[in-house]
Amino acid sequence: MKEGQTIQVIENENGIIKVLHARKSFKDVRVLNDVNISCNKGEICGIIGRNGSGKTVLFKAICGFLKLDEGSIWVEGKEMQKDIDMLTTAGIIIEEPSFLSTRSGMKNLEFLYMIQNKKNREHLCNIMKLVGLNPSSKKRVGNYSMGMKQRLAIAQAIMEEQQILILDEPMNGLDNEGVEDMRNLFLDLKKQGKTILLATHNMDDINLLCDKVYEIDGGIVRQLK
Amino acid sequence: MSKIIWQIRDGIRDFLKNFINVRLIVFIVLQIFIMHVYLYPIKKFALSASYPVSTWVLPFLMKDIYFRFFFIAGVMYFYSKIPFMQSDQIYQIIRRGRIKWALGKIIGIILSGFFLMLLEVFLSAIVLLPSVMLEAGWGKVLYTLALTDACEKYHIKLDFSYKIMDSYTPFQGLGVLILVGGFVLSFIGLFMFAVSLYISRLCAVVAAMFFAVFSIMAANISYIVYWIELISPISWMDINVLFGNGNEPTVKCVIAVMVIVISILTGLILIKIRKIDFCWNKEE
Ligand SMILES: Nc1ncnc2c1ncn2[C@@H]1O[C@H](COP(=O)(O)OP(=O)(O)OP(=O)(O)O)[C@@H](O)[C@H]1O
Ligand SMILES: [Mg+2]
Repeated sequence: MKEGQTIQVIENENGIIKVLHARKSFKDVRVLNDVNISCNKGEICGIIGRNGSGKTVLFKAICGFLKLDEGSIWVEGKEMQKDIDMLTTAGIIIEEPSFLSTRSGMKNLEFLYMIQNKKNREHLCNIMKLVGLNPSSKKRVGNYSMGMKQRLAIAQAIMEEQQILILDEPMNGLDNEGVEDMRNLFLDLKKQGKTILLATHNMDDINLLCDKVYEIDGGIVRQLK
Repeated sequence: MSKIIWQIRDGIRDFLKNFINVRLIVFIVLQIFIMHVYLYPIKKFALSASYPVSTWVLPFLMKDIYFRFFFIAGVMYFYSKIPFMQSDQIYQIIRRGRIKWALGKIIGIILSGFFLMLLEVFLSAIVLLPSVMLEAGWGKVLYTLALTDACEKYHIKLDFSYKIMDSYTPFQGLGVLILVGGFVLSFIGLFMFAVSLYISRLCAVVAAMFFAVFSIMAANISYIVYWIELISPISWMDINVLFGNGNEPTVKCVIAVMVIVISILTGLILIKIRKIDFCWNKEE
């Protein structure tokens, strides 16, 4: 399929997440140069690409943290920057996990959970267990290992049971068992009809999880699968 | 209506989670040190007179421009997380959205302003321990310092204005000080927030510092043009200049100005926050 044709197809698709002709530069450096992707409901969409190729920038734009210079992003039929300025209806992992370092993992989750006016300790305990953390541990997040922080980040992304998950390298720092568990978790979530956008460097993640794969290189994406 | 209540509750919750932190502790330690330097001679005087000081010395501390300068510098340090581009905010912004997140932070800055003033009252009493006493009036020691030459004898550098004691009861005086001071500190915080968003964080610190330095510079030339000093909101924390004599403003007028300025800053912050790219720093 030629470049022009791909774009035609994407514009006509009714993807739950669509990025059309996205361009983004920082000062003089162009990071995204006409990026087009479309992710359907219930799919796991993978994005791969070298370090510094712009995966995180693209995800930040989809979440609403960065504004595009040109192009548009549509999520569940709403246009980012026009209809909404932040994707408050998605679970996200972006950048390295960062929490209130003087509080326990559970306290951090409770605090974030409360923002959308929800309170359910039992549910949060289950989520903590689901990602392999001890809900009753009093350990401060500042003293967590990298893998533990990553698990907590996954917990905060899934705890509100949002229909869309935007996960930037969610397996970072996890041990083999953790990676295995999280893969199963993501497949479970997919079965529940959730849509997942996943950036990764791991080819096994791509092969085992993803329905669709894009590669980003030189500011342009190519669909591989 | 329920949205407004949610917003206020959310702001208060965020404030309570964040108010007590390392910067607050450093602020308290520095304030105690500076207050000790100013109040030690008074303590000595009180001991020699074997009569305790009342807990209401803060209005007189705030009359001193250098004390005010250190206080404002401490407050700016406390506010140094502004504009809140720490990466632990990511998960909060995505849940609140830009506007609600910024409104929460603005509410937090304002609450912090008033709490820091209350804290300052509390600290000024603590520093006078053990020769301090809670009483309804200004107390014998403060009257003596205002009306006799005891200040000179005991090398007390503060100016115990009789005008303040004569016009206000301690509760009124401290009330006015906390009200005006709370607004002034909120103004400084919001000013730093707005300037960081529109220009840069460095510029925000420099500009806020300018207000404090300006206050000192203006005081030094104010024997020529008296009203210059009164332009800087920081000078209004000396409630002695808020009686409306001559060029002086009144308490009402100062509060009205602050409310207007704070509303404008809030508007500017909300306009800008909808447009910016978020670029986070690692936690300090
Ligand atoms: N706020 C910013 N200001 C300037 N340049 C930026 C900014 N954010 C990202 N960049 C640049 O954009 C490019 C893409 O960065 P990005 O973080 O998206 O890469 P990535 O594909 O996620 O890489 P990695 O695999 O290492 O996570 C990099 O060259 C980076 O330096
Ligand atoms: Mg990245």
